This record gives sequence, C-alpha cells and structure tokens, in this order.
Amino acid sequence: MVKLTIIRSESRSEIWQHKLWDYVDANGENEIKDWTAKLGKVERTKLNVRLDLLQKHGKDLLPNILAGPIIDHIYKLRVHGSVQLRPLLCMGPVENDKEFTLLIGASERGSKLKPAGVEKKAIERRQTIINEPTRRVKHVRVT
Amino acid sequence: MFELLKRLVKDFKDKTVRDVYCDEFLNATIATQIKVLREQRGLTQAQLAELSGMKQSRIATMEDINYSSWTISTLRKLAKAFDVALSVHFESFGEKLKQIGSFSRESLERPSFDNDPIVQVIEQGEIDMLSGAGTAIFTTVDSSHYPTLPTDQVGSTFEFRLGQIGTSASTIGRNIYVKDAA
Repeated sequence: MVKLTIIRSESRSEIWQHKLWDYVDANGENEIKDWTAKLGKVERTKLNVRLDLLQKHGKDLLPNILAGPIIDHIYKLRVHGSVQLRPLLCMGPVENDKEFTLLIGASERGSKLKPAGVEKKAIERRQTIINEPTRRVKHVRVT
Repeated sequence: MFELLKRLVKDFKDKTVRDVYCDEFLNATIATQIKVLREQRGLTQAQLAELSGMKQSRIATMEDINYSSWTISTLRKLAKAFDVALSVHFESFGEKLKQIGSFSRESLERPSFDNDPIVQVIEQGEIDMLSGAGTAIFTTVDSSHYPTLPTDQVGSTFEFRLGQIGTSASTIGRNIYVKDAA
C-alpha cells in the first residue's frame, strides 16, 4: 500500500449551471424552435455549440459569448459565420442567476439587427414572460 | 451532462455536424483557455501582451470564442508567455466528446513549470508512478485550494496503473495528480 497526497484534481462538471427557455407566442407556438429549424445545418450547429456552452457554463467563463446588454436587459448571442446569427435573449427573467430565455431570432448585417425592430420585440417579450411565466417552454434543441 | 453527450453522439452521425461542432468547440476552448490561464497567473491583457510580444488589442481579439484565425506561431508565443508546453494533436471524436463533457475552468488551468506537480513528483523521485502499478490511498485534501477534490474519499483506496498520473481515474471520475509516497 502506498500513501499518496492529492495535489490536484480535475472534476468532470456534471451539472448544468443554467436552464434555457424558449419564448412561445399566445398560441403556444415556439418561435425560437421555428426560427432555428429554418437555419442551414452549419449555422444551426454553430448556434447549438454556443447554447450548449451557455447552458453548462453561463456567460462568465466563455469570453464574448454574449454581447450586451444591448438595451434594457437584452443580450445578443454572437454566432459568427456567413450568416451572422444574433438571437436575442435575457437572463432570467424569473430566476435571473439561473436561467436564460431566448426571446427572438435575429441576424446582423453591417451593425444592424434584422429583422428591423427585434430589440423592441425582445423587450416586450421579456415583459410578457415576467407577467405570464407560462409564455415560455424549456429550450427545444433542433438538430 | 451524459444527456448532452448522448445527444451529440446522435448528432455526430452527420459528418458536417460533427466537423462544424468540433471546429467551433476548438475555437471556444482555445479562447477560453487563454483567458483562464491569464487569470490563473493574475495577468491583465496588457501584461500578457507584453510577455508574449503582442499588442493588447490582439490578446483581446483572441479572447473571443468567435475568433477562428489561429496560427501555431501565435499559440507558441502564448505558450511561452504562460510557461506551458503547446500541444497540438489530432483526436478521435470519442476523445473530443470526453473533452466536451469535462470542459470547465479547472480542466483548462495549467501550472507553470515551477509549479507543476508532475514535474515535482518526477524530480523528487518519491514514487515510481510512471513505471509501475499498485494501490494508493488518499491521505490529504486541501479543499480550500482545490474545492473540487473528493474530500469524501479521503482514506479510500484506489488502484492506479501505468502512466496514470494526469489521466482519468475512472473509478472516481476525476483526474488525480499525486505526490508524497509515505
């Protein structure tokens, strides 16, 4: 028998640090899922990598995974590529430290978000969820 | 986490998906490790820039998970600045999935040469871990410095095999580095 002193250990992170939610409209339609399903395979895979990382590690470990807040509690997820995806999301808004909610799909051209007015819609949708937490569902990962 | 890995195995059956996913994960890993190693050494971006002979703006550009224009030459400069070795190798997708599963701040931290416990083990010759196998028990855990250590397993026994230093001890799901034969 040999006695040893542990001087370093690397744990395997087993726990998701954050929950991820998708906004749904008044009819219960998951607009985030619909938007993601329309993306090309490459863009969708790039998006999924970031969402997996965000869900597991939050925004602090991964440099520049999010930009913002760009306006009233709204962040954009940065996905570089031939199409510059910038889905808008917020922390919370129910449990601010433990979750992110995807509010609306968007892309960026030049320095402008498309479609026009997504920032305003994102603010409205965040407020809708605060008032009515059933207006979101657990994130649906589209592959 | 196992749920994600199972899902990824299914996704990876598509070659485009596995190629793109691993490319993006590699970019995220390098950018995050640069930040983690810099913070582990208490350096600002400006200080790292000076140590590596680059501009601060270049460090800021690379500390971005969306950056993808890596060169071996630049990574070598950073490795020298961090006083670590640069390792570039091809990997099976199975190994990559293991890395995705274990990705964390702790898994990205690396000691400089002077603080490297494996170097110290070899230098001090306290135990011939690199050429033998046997049984060991955990005796001490500095949980304040290493909060992820399995404090509940102090005194328990585990088997080690040839070359186990720095590799996964599958019975407890952790990588264990050891020294101090007693």
